Amino acid sequence: MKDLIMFLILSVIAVVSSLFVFLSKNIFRGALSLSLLLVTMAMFFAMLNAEFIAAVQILVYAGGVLVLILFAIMLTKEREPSVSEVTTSRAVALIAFVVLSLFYLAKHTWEKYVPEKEFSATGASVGTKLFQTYVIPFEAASFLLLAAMIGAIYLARRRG
Amino acid sequence: MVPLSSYIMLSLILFSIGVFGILTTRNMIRILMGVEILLNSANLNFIAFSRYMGDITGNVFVLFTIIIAAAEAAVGLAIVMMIYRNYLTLNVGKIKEMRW
Amino acid sequence: MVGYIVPEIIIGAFASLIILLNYTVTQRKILGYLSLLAVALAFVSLFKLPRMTAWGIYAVDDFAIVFKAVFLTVAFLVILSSLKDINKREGEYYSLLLMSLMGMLLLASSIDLLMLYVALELATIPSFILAGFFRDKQTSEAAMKYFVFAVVSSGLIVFGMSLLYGLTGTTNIYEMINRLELNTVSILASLFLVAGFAFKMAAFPFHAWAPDVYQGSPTPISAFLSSASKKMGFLAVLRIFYIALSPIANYWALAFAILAALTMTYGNIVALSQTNIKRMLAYSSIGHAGYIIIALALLNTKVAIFAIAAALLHILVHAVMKAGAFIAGIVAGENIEDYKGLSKKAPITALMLTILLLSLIGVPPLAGFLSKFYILLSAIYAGGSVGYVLAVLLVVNSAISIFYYGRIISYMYWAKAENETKINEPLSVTLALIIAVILVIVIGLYPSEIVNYLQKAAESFVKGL
Repeated sequence: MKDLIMFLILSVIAVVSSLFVFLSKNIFRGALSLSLLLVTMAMFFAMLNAEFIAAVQILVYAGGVLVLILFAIMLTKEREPSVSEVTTSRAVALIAFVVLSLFYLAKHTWEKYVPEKEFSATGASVGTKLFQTYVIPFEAASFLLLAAMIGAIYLARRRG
Repeated sequence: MVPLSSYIMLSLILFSIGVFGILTTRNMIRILMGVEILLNSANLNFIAFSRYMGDITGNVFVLFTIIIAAAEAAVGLAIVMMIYRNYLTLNVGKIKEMRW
Repeated sequence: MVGYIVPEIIIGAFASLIILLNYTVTQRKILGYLSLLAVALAFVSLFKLPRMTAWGIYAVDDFAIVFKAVFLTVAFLVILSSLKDINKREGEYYSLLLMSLMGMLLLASSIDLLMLYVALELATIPSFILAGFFRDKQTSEAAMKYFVFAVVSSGLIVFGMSLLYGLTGTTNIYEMINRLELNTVSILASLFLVAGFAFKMAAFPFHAWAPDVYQGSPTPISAFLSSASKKMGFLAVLRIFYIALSPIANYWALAFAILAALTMTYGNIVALSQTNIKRMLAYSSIGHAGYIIIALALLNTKVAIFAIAAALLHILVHAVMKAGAFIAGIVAGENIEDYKGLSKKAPITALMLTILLLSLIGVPPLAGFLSKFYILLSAIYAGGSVGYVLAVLLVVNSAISIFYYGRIISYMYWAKAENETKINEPLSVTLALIIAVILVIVIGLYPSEIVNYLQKAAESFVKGL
């Protein structure tokens, strides 16, 4: 029962904060709202026994990506406050899409999945998979990070 | 126990909010934040499935997605800096040098 | 022990080497030549690759080798044509290009969703930077548009993959065949994947980024994007849709048929009105992507293997032709007015470009005719309303393309230029053009061997190792 209450509270926080990312007048507040969403997701992950990923989410997303975004916001001062173009037709389209998808999903019951009590995604279990089955993407990811680093430094430099 | 379908419905709601936000905003940084929302909703799917099926692959996928999202954010923000330096605005509607 | 992944290791090693040398070497030329060497070595290693599967996520089959060959060839041409401004190119350029190539090579062999996604991102993230490499107004706009569309499509793809994982409990595409059922969620998942990959293939209506990005990027990078990055989309779609999603083929095949019809027609018609060469080539790429998508629409019919082989041929041929056409633009210029009288100002380039354009139109006995013809054949053999409609559209669109390609040829040979000064034709660019033309002619002359090999590749990909 308390699982359900927790889930409901967190869901509401998640949905509201993600809406606020786009609807806030001040983009800085939008970014802070994003951070709330990221932390809420980490809590979901923890609820779903994915402790390692929850920690990574906070470290990398809330700690890294968000700081990057905040820096970018602070370094690029816009003259006018941003205004989002939320017209009624687009809002209707959004609601229609969500309702339809929910309807489709609700029809497909996921009941064949019986959750085991003892599932725990520790760092060790993730690490084993990472260094055995998925070692090739692991190495590729390191090149990816290298490329991102080289590229970001190159692009952000002044010309000449 | 929270039913699995609730998680999936939540992730779909978040995904829709992300797509909707990306389509309706003019600010490049907001677009980037919208993309982060998209990726997070997919991650929620993976973790939820992982837990309810007892398969660790979902967690591994999320690890990689987080890594990739961080790299994308870094590059994207570098592009933002470059755009700002050239155009002095982040309004994607105003950045239209190339025409028919 | 790691013999199966040698090409990627070579490319990765050289990419790291180049970036290390970037800060110590004064002779910039070395970096360019090193990257050429890397691609050449990797290409040679293709011939000795063992056919095997590793870890259940990486498979070397003929299908993978065909794509690796395509990517390596395009990379070779692009690097060769970039050597012209060699002292202006920083080491980052070559290093990023090689890393993107490495991602593409990994993608060719991916049979697992996770491997596929990581490889896809490794291939596209460096190209964001490459698209904006000059850091001026035009290229930064190109980089921005490319980035926004690409990351949104990434988000769509990964969401679709998450649903597939939830439906089947696995990320291996060959295992999914047995576990996937037709239900609303699987259709939703395929919709997400179709939308995401349609962005990558620049199919209508997700094509909006391509013209601006191809126009704004540095020209060799436009060649790279249209000939390599776009082909990645087809590669991934073939692997995922034809294998993993085969139980629900009838649904997505129809979606692809519609995409093919719209994309072909839109691309060719809009190309007619373009005056900027790079933009025109972008729309023509969209049109050609439509031709390839025809083959995707036929995957649920009895001619599926033949259609795949035809698509592979057109992917290979179009990659070379389009790369060559863009590369010619390095010498000739961006605006169509610059092409007037090019036959006198830059005779070799004009001749090479003419051959490539004729191949793009589909004039026999060049390779472009061959690959279109095979796609046409597969559409006709497949029959049914879908097959016949697509076949007719293919012919009609090829006819339309005569006008905009032909206009360039006529400007080059029959229009008078304002000034008759000769344009410098750098050796590296000319060499790249000659290689492209040779490939186009040779493939056109020996169709049967190549198509047989491609059919073998298509079969190997279906059976799985």
